[in-house]
Amino acid sequence: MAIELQDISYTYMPGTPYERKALKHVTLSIEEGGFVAIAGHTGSGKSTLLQHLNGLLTPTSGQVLVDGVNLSPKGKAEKAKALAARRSVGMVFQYAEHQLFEETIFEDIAFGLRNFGCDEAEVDERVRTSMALVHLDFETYRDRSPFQLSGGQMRRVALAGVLALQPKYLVLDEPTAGLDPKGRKDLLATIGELHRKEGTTIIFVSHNMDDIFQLADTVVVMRQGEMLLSGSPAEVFPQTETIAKAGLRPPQLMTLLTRIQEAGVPLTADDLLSRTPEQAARAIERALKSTQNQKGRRGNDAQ
Amino acid sequence: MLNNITIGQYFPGNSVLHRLDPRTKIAVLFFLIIAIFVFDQPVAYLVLTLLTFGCMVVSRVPMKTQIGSLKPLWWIILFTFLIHLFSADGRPLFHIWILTATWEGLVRGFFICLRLALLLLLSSLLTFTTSPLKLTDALEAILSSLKSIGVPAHELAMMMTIALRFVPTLIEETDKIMKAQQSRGADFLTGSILHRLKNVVPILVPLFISAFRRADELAMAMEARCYRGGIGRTQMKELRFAPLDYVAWGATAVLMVALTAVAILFPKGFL
Repeated sequence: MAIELQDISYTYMPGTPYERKALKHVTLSIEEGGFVAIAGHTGSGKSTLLQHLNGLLTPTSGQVLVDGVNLSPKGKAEKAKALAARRSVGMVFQYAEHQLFEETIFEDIAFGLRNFGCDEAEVDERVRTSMALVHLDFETYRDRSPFQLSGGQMRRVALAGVLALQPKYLVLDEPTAGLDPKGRKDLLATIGELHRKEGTTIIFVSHNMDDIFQLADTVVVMRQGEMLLSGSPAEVFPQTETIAKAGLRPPQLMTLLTRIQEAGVPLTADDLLSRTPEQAARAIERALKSTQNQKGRRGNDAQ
Repeated sequence: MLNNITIGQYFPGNSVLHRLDPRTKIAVLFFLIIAIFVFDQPVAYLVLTLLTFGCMVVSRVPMKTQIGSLKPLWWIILFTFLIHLFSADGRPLFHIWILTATWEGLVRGFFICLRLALLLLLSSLLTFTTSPLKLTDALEAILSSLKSIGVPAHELAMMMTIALRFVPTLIEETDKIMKAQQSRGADFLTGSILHRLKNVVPILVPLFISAFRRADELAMAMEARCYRGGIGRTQMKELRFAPLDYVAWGATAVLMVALTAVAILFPKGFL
């Protein structure tokens, strides 16, 4: 078990008329090497949940364990341990480009490293690697101002700033919000690569069921601060009614395949869960061929 | 970290005080403040104190919060009291070093502090029971009588509304930026003052950028909707006086007249 949330609840502004229970008794464990998506309607507590993962918020009740270390311990000796555990969780906020502030891209990415006390050689080395990870050319971009870049590029710089810290777990809050289709495709590809090649555990929040369906191996559906569903996409998405209750819709590909099935093409339950358009196309082709064969055979029988 | 800040200090509710027209509340507060300053007979203090506490109970805002509004001025109140205690002439009470406390000083200090406390409690009551939006509406209504001498009432009110509207947004933004930089190891809470000041830069720069971006977007959106200031502008929720307001006006008038009468008839007080 890598990250464990044990029965956590969180209340904003307790004791005032603005009191709001954002999380209610959420228990969740995230395996190392997993690719976890958290889905839910606006105000369902997704972002609050994320901020518990690296100790930015301390649960009102319950506890968060990262690699077995409690993130908000009472004793002094355990606090140092908790700090190290927090640092193993990298956090990329929504509209991460809004956190940029330095004069050059190099300095902005190096900000976290300097805070963590790395020496210059290591800073240089790690900035290079993390820029490579997000596909920004080191020589071209190192001395540019981050504010001259496009929105998609700025977000890459912000992502690199977190990756430079070499987090074991990477938490992203709606990483693709507000990006153009190309920026979004590139960014998702980058995140996929991180997961595959670097073995980073990814936890991300998204509104987009299609992205979740394609990338994630575990889906968590939130509704009004409670965990409604969790499991693999194949377990979660066929429960269309529950998903609709959370204010979400099933992935478009699945809806399309369901319609095709309803129109009389004999697709199997597995076919309905095709993750990519290519997979879906093959499934439809197979199904159509089998019907044609059957028709052909019936035709032969009639003669 | 920043999520415990309440905006202004409005306390939503439906008490008599909440339902009063904001213009009435401002006017009544104005007259009560005058009364507190002008009338210094014990009986006037008694009436005004009872009235203030009556209003505090009626507002149904938790007493602890209301008394808490005195906190920022605690030291000033204490200081005022001590100055009066030791500076007035009269029968000596006790000596400390070269200072002499007097009975007269004790009494005067007590009443001055009571005045300060009443002023604070009453003004807080206005902001506790009136939403910032209603407050600016009322200010605009009151200021618009000064339009003829060139006071830009609408523009002032609009600026105030926008400023108030963006306070929570900017607080949220600051909170987010602080958290983002904290996730990158920034530390705002420990170290020397110089170190901490240096650490404010990663918050301020993104905050300024976002504030300017928002201002730009807002200006654009207002222009796109043909905003051209207050001329001929109507309101969705117009302020209207209800019977309750006339009661409040009447009661204030009666109170003022009564206090004036007491002041003239019994200049020395009768308690």
